[in-house]
Amino acid sequence: MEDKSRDSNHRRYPGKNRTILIVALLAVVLASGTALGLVKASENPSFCTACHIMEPYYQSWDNSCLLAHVHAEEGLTCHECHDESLGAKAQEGFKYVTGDYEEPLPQLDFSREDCLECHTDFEEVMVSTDHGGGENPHDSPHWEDMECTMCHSMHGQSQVYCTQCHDFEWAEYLGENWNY
Amino acid sequence: MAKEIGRRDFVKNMALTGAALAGAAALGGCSQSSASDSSSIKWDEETDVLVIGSGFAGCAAAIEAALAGAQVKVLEKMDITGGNSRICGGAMAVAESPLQEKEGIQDSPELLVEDMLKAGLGLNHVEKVRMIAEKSLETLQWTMDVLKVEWSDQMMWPGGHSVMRTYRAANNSGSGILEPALAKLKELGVPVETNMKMARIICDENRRVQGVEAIDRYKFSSDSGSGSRYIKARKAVVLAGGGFGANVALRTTQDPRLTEAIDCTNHPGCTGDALLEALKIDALPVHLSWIQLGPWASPDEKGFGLTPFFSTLEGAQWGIMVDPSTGKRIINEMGDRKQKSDAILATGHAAVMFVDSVGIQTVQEGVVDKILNKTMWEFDSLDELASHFEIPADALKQEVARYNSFVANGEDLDFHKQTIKMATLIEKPPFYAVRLWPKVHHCMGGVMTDLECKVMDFNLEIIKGLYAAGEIAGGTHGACRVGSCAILDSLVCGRVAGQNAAQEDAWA
Repeated sequence: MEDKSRDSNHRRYPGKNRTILIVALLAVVLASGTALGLVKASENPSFCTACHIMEPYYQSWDNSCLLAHVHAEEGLTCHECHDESLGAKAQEGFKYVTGDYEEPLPQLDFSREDCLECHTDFEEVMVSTDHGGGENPHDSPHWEDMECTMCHSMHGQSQVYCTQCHDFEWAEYLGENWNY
Repeated sequence: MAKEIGRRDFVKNMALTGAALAGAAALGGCSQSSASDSSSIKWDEETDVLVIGSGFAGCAAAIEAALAGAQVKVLEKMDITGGNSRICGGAMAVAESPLQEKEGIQDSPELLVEDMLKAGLGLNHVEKVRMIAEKSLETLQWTMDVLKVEWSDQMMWPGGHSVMRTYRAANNSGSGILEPALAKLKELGVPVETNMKMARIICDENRRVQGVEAIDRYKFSSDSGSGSRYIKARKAVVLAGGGFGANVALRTTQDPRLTEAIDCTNHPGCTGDALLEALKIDALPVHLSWIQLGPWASPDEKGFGLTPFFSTLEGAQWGIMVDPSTGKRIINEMGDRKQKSDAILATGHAAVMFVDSVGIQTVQEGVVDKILNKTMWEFDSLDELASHFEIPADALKQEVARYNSFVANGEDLDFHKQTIKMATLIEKPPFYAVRLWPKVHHCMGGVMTDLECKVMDFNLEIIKGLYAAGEIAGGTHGACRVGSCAILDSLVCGRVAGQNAAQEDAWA
């Protein structure tokens, strides 16, 4: 009897419960779909320009003399370096929508270890820039493990740090993305 | 992978900045004229001893403080550690060293003191000079035993020293001393944070230094960061932020002649920020207008460059330096930096220093290859050399002949070159010549410190909890620092500061 009454209670508002359930499910599916879609879409660098402040960074990747474009030509996209979590990306989106951001964006810090994740053979890097005469920027007597970003910049002009004190002939033949 | 400030951090920073601004309004530094209330500051982190700067003095202080059991942290404003210490030549004067004993050279701390006072025109703080000289041997031993520094087995003889006494890092760079020091800090678990600039020294109403406000993620290139961090120093703050040679605006307030037309051998971050913050809390300035020029610098390259590897040592020892307008020598080539810089500047144009094919053989291997046809030129005759630099040829040849007679007789009648007995005749072509024009190199001035490296104020009283060592501390070198005495000064005083800082009673 009690069971029956309970059953009847359950059956009393079946339509309302089902609607709530369906709406909730639809919302979850829709949100998930949107999130997945956004995640998928964000893999395309042009997606980043949805935020106007990202335009110069995208341009430096898409078509420039800068190091970001050199990486683009190797088939690398933004997320190869900017691999923040989904939560961090959502937070960035929220910040953009609410206007809670600095412009231009603050420069991010990348460590030597970050670069060496891909450029694994530093010995090879050293050999490639051995111009003779002890003028190898990757084998300086002054530094052991210098940060790559001391000279190399992805989205801006790179700068030969050593040329603050030394005149190196090879520096004159660097690409137009270099200051020396 | 990338480090970025999250929203939470941002909000936290803003809140802290607000609190700090309120605190700062009440504080206004530590000068007696302003009210003090550091109790409103919310410290982000704390340590026993906080060291500002990661060059020789900072590293030495941090190592000693850590070895004494203190919790230590080092802040460096630049992207990379070491400042000038990393890029200098790695030379350190030592009296009564093992290499001197091996070479049979008679020396003593007293003679080193005498040389430093002579170059410094007697303006030196004598007791500090004596402390440095007397601790030179034990400091050399410390670099070998504790830091595991590899020194060259060949000494060098920079100008101003009456005997050969200078050790040189085996790799010919200050990095040969700095990297082992940084490795020691790592071993001791002392964090060295780059891109952290000290913006303010914080103290209580009794002017006891309590910590600092630092700019987090500071970028020197844009002179900006991501907000303030408040770091409590329970025992002491050690200032080891270097000099201000690269700060043209500041250096011209002390010596208006040193405009941007004069190049500088320092790294660009050598701007005296820590010094200025110390002055703001009434640290007593000493000798700020005594700014040293390096007479061995070449106008044909930037900064310190490579030419000094010739002109500070063998070029001076085995060659002569002449005024190209007269062909005459102008000074003792082995004189101190002030004597030589003043002599060159007085002529109004670059001097020419040259050696012959015998002298060039003494130059360290690899140096000539790097500078030949860039800052150094080779000539088959003195006539060719004279023609290239527009020197009156006959006058030049007469001067070389006169100098050679001094070499032959073992006495320099004109300028009393102390190495004349070791010198050889300048006669065998080819001849090798460089041009020399002084560049800003070292600030002899800084804050007043006592023998324990404690910073003193305008009442000649100690500012409790504040130490200074290295180029930021003034007075030691008087009017002119003798070459290879800065590393000695930085390591000795850095160690003393670190040892004493660790013994301070904690205020919290």
